[in-house]
Amino acid sequence: MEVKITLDALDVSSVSVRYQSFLEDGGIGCAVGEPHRRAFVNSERGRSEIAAELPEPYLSAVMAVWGDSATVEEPDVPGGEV
Amino acid sequence: MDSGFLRLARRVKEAEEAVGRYFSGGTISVGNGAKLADRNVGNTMFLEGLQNPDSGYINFSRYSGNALGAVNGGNLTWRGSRVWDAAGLPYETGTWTPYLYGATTAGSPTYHSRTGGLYVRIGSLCFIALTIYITARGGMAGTLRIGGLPFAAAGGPGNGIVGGAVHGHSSGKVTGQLDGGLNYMSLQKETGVFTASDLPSDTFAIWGMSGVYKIN
Repeated sequence: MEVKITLDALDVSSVSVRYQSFLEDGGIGCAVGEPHRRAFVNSERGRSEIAAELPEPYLSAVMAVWGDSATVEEPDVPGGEV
Repeated sequence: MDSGFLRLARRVKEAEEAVGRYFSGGTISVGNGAKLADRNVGNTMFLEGLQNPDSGYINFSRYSGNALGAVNGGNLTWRGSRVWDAAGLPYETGTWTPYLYGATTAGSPTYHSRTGGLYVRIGSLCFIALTIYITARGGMAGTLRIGGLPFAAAGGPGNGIVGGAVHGHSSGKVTGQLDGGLNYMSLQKETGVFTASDLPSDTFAIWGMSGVYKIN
């Protein structure tokens, strides 16, 4: 069983990482089960999380787009709170 | 009297008519279950050479209107009464893993195996449902957040959701607020944010939640 990783909706602020299991039968890859996803945002926390979870070369691909610093702030208080 | 050349030309013309590529309105007739392309052999099947975008369509029934076609400048559109506009694509279902953490101190809570989530993406909308079930706080502090969403919310105001808990333990019911551009929901109780100290003393909490938000 092979897990294929796809970087989806990659921009300077976020990325959705898609994991899909595949079985190869007679040279043809067949998707097994449903995909699993996790989004990361380009915040300080998001950068450390994706560095710990996403393998190469996908991590370098994301960091090439995200650059050297976070662009998303995670506020202490939710934006809509009154 | 026809020459051999003219007879040959006539036969070529008849053959071209038979496969429907010479005269306008020509058709290719195939039997029930016939394939135009074998998916086990070729990787791609093309339907091309259409100069009028309003004429390019595949009809799925004997009646007009139940067709997938390129109309209005070439956008791929369902033309039938059961309309699925091109803006509705793509469609995907899958799973995601929700996790709980504190905004002040993330902590490492202990999860029950029933924790999990599913999503349905329809174009730029994402429906999520989740069950999160912890048996120990694991040092969390501050406003509790649910992370691990399958997609980040689109940026800007109004793109997030407030997902309601349909079931809660003695800590009470919560809602989750997802702000634009982020990938986590901040938990809220009726009177403000829901913090780690709002968890019940037996450290057991379970919530089922669902909601919809806009993605890029």
